[in-house]
Amino acid sequence: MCIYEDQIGKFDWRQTYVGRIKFSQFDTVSTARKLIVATEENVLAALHLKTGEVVWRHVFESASTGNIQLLHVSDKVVTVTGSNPYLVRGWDSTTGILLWEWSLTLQDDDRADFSEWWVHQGLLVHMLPVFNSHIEVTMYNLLTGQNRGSTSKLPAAWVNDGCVLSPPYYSCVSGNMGAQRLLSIDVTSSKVQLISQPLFDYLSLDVFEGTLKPLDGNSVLPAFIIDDKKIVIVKDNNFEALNIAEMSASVTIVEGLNGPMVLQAWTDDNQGFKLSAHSVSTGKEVSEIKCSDPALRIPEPELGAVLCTKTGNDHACRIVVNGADDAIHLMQQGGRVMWSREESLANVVAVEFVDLPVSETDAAIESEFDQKEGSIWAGSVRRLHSQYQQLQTLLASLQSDRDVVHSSTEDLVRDYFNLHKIIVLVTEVGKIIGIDNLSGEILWHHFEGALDTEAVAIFTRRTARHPPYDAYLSIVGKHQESGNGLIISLNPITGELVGERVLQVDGRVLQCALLHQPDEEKLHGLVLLYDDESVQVFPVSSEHLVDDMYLYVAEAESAKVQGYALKYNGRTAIAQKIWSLDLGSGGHRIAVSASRAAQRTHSPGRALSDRSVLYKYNNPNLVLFITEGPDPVHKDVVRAVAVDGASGAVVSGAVHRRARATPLAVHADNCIAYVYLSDKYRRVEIATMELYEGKERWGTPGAPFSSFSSARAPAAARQAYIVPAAARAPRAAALTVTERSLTDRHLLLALSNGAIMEIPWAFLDPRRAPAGGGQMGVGEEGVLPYLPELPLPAEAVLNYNRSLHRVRSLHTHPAGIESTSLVLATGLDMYYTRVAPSKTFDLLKEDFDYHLISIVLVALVVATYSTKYFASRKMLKMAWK
Amino acid sequence: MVKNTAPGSLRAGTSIIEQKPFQQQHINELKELADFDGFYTIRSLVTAADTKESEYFSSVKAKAFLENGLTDVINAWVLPNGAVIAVSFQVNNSSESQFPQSLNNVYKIKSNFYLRQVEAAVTPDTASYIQKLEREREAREKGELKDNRSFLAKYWMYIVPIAIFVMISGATNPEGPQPTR
Repeated sequence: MCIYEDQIGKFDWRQTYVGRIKFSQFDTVSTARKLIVATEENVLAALHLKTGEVVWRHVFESASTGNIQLLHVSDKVVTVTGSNPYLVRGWDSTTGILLWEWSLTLQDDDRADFSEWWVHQGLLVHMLPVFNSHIEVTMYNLLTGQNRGSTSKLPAAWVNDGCVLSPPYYSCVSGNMGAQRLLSIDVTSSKVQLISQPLFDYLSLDVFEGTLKPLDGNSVLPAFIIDDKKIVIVKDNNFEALNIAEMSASVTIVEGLNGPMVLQAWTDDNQGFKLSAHSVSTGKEVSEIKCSDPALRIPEPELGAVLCTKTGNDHACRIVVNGADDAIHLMQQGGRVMWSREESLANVVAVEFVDLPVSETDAAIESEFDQKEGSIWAGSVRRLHSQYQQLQTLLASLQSDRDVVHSSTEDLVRDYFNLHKIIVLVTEVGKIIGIDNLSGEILWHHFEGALDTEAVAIFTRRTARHPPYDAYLSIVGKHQESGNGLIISLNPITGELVGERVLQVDGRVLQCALLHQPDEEKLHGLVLLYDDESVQVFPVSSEHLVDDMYLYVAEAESAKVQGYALKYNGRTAIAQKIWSLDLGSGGHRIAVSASRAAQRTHSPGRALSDRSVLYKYNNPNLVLFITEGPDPVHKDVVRAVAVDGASGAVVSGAVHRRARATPLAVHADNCIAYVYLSDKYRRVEIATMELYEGKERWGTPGAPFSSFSSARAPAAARQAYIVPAAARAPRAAALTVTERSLTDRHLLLALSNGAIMEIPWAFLDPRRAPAGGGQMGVGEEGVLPYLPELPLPAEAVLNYNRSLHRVRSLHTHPAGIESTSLVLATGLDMYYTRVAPSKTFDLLKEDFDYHLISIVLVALVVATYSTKYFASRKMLKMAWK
Repeated sequence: MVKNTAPGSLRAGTSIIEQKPFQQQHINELKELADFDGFYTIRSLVTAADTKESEYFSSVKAKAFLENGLTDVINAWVLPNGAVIAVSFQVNNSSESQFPQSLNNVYKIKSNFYLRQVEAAVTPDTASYIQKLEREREAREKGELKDNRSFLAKYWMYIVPIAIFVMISGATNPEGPQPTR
């Protein structure tokens, strides 16, 4: 489980993310320039200006108590977090150390959400508008929280919910239709000064909405935009309209060489990303700040912090651009991207590991062996040809300079142990990203803004194993607006759209699955079951392959589960509802369902000490449902029900009293484990279950399992363990997977303290029983005596000192060698490593001394021949004597 | 197709199940279903005192039902609070079952009805573990148990091999080591 110090980073990597940027400001004071960001994920971080790496990072609570309301960077970084009570904190910008903190509680809790915060002349200003009445303004000492005076109430009957703040001015459009006025008030000034102008001074009356929009980024002048058309600046207690607004552009005002400039960024459908700047005073375009890059695609760009400095006679600007795909880019004035961060990876919703294709020469060899027909001569000609090709590639590799960097697609070939894969990740915003699993480098990305990733599923419909066909991957989600199914098909190696490309189907998808049988092109058809119980198959040509297919649909809220049988009736594929269950009686909802992982079963049973065999219940269709809900007697109960997903028969069930469910359940082979919170003892427990047929086999050996021919319920071994309180609540769980399931099975638990624990299944074995109890499993080989508390030793931490924040899920995938399982943890951070549950029994040690063994071998051979020579010489001498 | 099974009260220890036998016409319909590998579905209605009627579906393959001579198993899964979560209908996979003989054009169906309780789950067994620790502690406090066995009884396993070894070495050279020159 542990690794040596020199193995750190050898086969694991961690990427830290901060989430979608909410506020950003440049730290211009300290010597090492940084970009300070506050994000939607409640993270405060400093990013290195040259590389974009995280210098320091603070992860606040994910609940509303961690919401960042204000980021202010001067010589110190100041944040306001939470939602009544608020915490005002100061941070050292170089190290990120907390310097001071004070809290603030508002009396009026109902309206606290409308609060606005900013820093004005070293004072923290809190403004609370009371609609149609007045504005409350309070100023606090930033460091101590001391109130300078009492709260001042500015009478403002014109305040409504469409008002915008452009510090220190608070602006509204108020009045009856047709007689609307634009009003603005400086809330920090001691005397009340109201600026009021008729709105039609700025907008023609025929097109008129009067919606105000604040500027993006950190505007140096108080300004706002009316109806996406006019930028209005508040200057010397007067409004000043600018005539340079671009529709749907992100606008900010920055300090330039010759006074403030209006900076705008937008993406044109044809011309790509565009950036422009105009002087506020003259309205002239600033020539050096300009970009029009058709290659650069930033969906709905939003300007963040902008910093312009003087180099000679020109502007040198650093512009933060935040896209709708949650990517953050730091640009120069000419549009050159210095670095980009894919912050959408902080919210990964679905993961798939994809095999790489074999290299061209390997493919040629494979095709050679595939061709069985042909005479001996044809075979030998093929053999010679492929050997000639191999020789050629060998020569080419010798000739080519070693320093030549291969293009990335060339390197993407399967390695000998199949450890090199591509990880396809679907993120919450709808960005699909392909990552190289060895380096963690992003290979391709595709943004699909219309994809609602609430219940997204990924299917590998064709692996890269079938040349000349490319790998094929489909992502099934929902369309954001219509709610209908949306299928995105792409080649996971290159990220190019293939096949159906992006296809919106006409109906809401209840369930989707892959066909078991591939078609002639080795492509597995995608089956969609719509909410009107009709079936559609992609591609249509593989519709006739729908046979003996069973799907189940579970409604999480009502816990009703329905099963469908899919069949091809000669014309089209149809679905027939064949079973239904009601797991939700008494108001239960499904917390999690875990279907059995599709993997091999290595052995059909377990050998017992009396030489008999305990046969496993090997139902590949088994699904575990964990429901939680109220109970009249036991407050909350958790039910675990194992259901045959094809026939709908309940196989086993258990009820936990006074417990609440967590969405952590794993299920592989005949093993089931799930985590729940015990309300009675206030601790986290993990329940495990193994299903057995008994000491006699139900069916004949080797016969496939049929859900429809067995009426017997298996025996279940059950046990429960306490997860130690020191480890705190688990956040994600997964079982290791290996190619042939020969290797031990380990449970991986991601804990909220940032560690991923690797626990051998032997510790969770439900047949563990107290010694002397006379129960099943006692004294058997490999079954440990029962311990109620799960041991979580520090050396079982997979990610050593690389703590992971907010792990959301763990994913495992088999490697090509039996001993190894690949692990990816996603959450705010991403961590990839590989585990060998039974140690690397099929690999030589990394530090295996090849030189020593070859020297020893050579020396032995030399010694053999030399002794032979000496022996013959001695014999000769002896003979002469 | 309708199958009428009416189990009596579930809570009463004994339940009487009345079942309407199949007519020839039902058998023919089943065979038709079996021809295209269709499903024979039962719809169960569960009425409880406090909740409204709930409906459950479950199916078997018509072919398997015919092959197993109209014998089936009906499992009703009941929670500890008495609520039903599932009524599953499966064929009884017994090889010796024969197709029932028709009696006045009436086929008798053999159904086994089981009421299955969803059990309360196992909780971590701390009590017996603490007891075990207590016992161990007590044993340690009392000190090692006095071993009253005799010396031979305690160490026979070491003595016997030595004795055998001595005997064997004695047997191979009975005169003892020969003095060397």
